[in-house]
Amino acid sequence: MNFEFTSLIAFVTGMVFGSFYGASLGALIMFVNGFLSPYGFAGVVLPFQIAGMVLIGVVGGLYARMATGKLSSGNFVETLVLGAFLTFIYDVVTNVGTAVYLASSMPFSEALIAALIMGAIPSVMHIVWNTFLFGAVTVPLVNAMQRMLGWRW
Amino acid sequence: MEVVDTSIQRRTILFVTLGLAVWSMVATLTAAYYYTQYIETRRTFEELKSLVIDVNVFIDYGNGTQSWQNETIIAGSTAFDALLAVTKNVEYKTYPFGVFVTSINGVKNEGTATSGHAWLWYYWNATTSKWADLLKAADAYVLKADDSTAWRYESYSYSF
Repeated sequence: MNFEFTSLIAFVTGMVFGSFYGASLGALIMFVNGFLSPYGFAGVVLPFQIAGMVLIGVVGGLYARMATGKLSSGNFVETLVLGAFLTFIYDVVTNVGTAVYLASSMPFSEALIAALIMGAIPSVMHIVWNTFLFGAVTVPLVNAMQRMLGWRW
Repeated sequence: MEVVDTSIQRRTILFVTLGLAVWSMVATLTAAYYYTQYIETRRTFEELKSLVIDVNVFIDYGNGTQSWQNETIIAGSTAFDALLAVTKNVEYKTYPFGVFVTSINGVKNEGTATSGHAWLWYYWNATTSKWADLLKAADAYVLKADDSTAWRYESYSYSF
């Protein structure tokens, strides 16, 4: 799942409606994805995916509190950095889930190192994609949603 | 007196730190990934390397033309395999004792049973530092790494 919109949606929902809604939507999407993904049932990794997406939704809400008022050009850079950071954290959390799965056949410490290293390249692609996506889309999307909802003009 | 907004400064520091943290951690993981790939490739290379050997093949056409060739061949190959590795233009006959080369690169054996010219092969005896005749067919001698073999177009004569 290197090129996805789920984390952006969870983050923006958190920013517009608050951490609870961002986290809830993120958890719901990952729960459904865990069963309906074309890659098959997520298994033991599913709770880690949910936890990672919940974190993104929560941080979206917290960031909205920090960025009061109409979002401006400075927020582009901040959301870009947050996109990279949150994606990295999400990937680490899900890689821990993969390590738990691998730990059935090897020591957990080795499984964790293997999962982190083998997941490095997919993670880089994921981070690059989300860095671009968060940086380019978050600010105009949040501003547009708030205008549509009549919360800000 | 200049008023500095410390909250903006702190915020800038926070996001710069986050960005640098991501960069450093991703760079570390990527380096680790490529290092493991390097180790894996190296191991595969060593495994493949043990499956092949380097040998030298000397061909003396008897008319002043000579050639030295280094060839990498599969371990377990014979002196005849090494010859075929350096030139495909080889004619030979197969007998119960093994192959007998009758032509290399168009230079054919000629003569009768008692005299003429023929291709004979030798191996380099590193102990005596001399070319030696094993008195066995080339396809019956399994080469070792760095072995050298020579093919010479020589005149012969026997009297019965």
